[in-house]
Amino acid sequence: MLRARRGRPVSRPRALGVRALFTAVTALGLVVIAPAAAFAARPDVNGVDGHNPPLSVVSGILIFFVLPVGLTLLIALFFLRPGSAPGAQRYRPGRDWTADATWLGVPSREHHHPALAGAETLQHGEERPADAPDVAAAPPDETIGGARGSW
Amino acid sequence: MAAGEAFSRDQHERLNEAVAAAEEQTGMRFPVYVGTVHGDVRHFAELELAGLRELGDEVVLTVVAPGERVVQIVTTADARRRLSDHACGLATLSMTTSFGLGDLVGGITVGLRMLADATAPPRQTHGRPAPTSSTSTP
Repeated sequence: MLRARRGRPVSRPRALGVRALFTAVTALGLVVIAPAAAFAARPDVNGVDGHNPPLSVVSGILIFFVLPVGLTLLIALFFLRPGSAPGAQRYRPGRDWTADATWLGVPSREHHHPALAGAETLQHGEERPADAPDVAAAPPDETIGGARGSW
Repeated sequence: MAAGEAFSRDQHERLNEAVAAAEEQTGMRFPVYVGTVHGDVRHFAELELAGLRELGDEVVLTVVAPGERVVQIVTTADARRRLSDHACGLATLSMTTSFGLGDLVGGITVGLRMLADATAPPRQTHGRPAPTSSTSTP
């Protein structure tokens, strides 16, 4: 859920829809305005003076409609794509973390605590397997150092 | 239920480089876990640290639980002689600052660098350097 300026939650699909609608309206507006300026500057647009051949209907559609709309859609797709890093979940504080568990600096998963292999990959809302131990039940080791923080 | 990768390939490379740099600088091992933790994070980290003894005697495990908004650093008894709890606390503080802004990769990278910088050099025992990882010179 996203937050609007007045604090009302806005769903992500709706926000994307608003952005897409804004892009489409802007594109259509540009399509109408840009040719209008060109026509105003050229009273001989139909080729009356003989130097400029008349623009065919197909060419006009291609130049003044298909090309701008295509470019606009291309740019819109570039900005409306889900994320700059495909496959990666972007972290936002306060939202659920549903990505897979990740280990760094460990050669292989065989080095991990085998009893926690099932528990560590649990996602929110999933039930703990019956054979997975409760980590809170383990006694603390006083020889182990470290620190803890939260945000 | 797999919900997708936590990091992109570039982010993974950055994190692996940070871990490798810290290990090369200190000779200790700095594994990092990023994921959901059910239950107490401290106990989870201790149990995982016990499972990482194959890496060596000097291991500093960093557990980052984004869903629970908790970061826990645990050090083995040997690693604790070179890396104080106070230094771990400072690194944790720096990491949580970045995490609060949504920058997981930056927080982990900076935290590992701080941990490596705060690690004391290995003690000389009986005229020989203390055993470290393969990156140490004889």
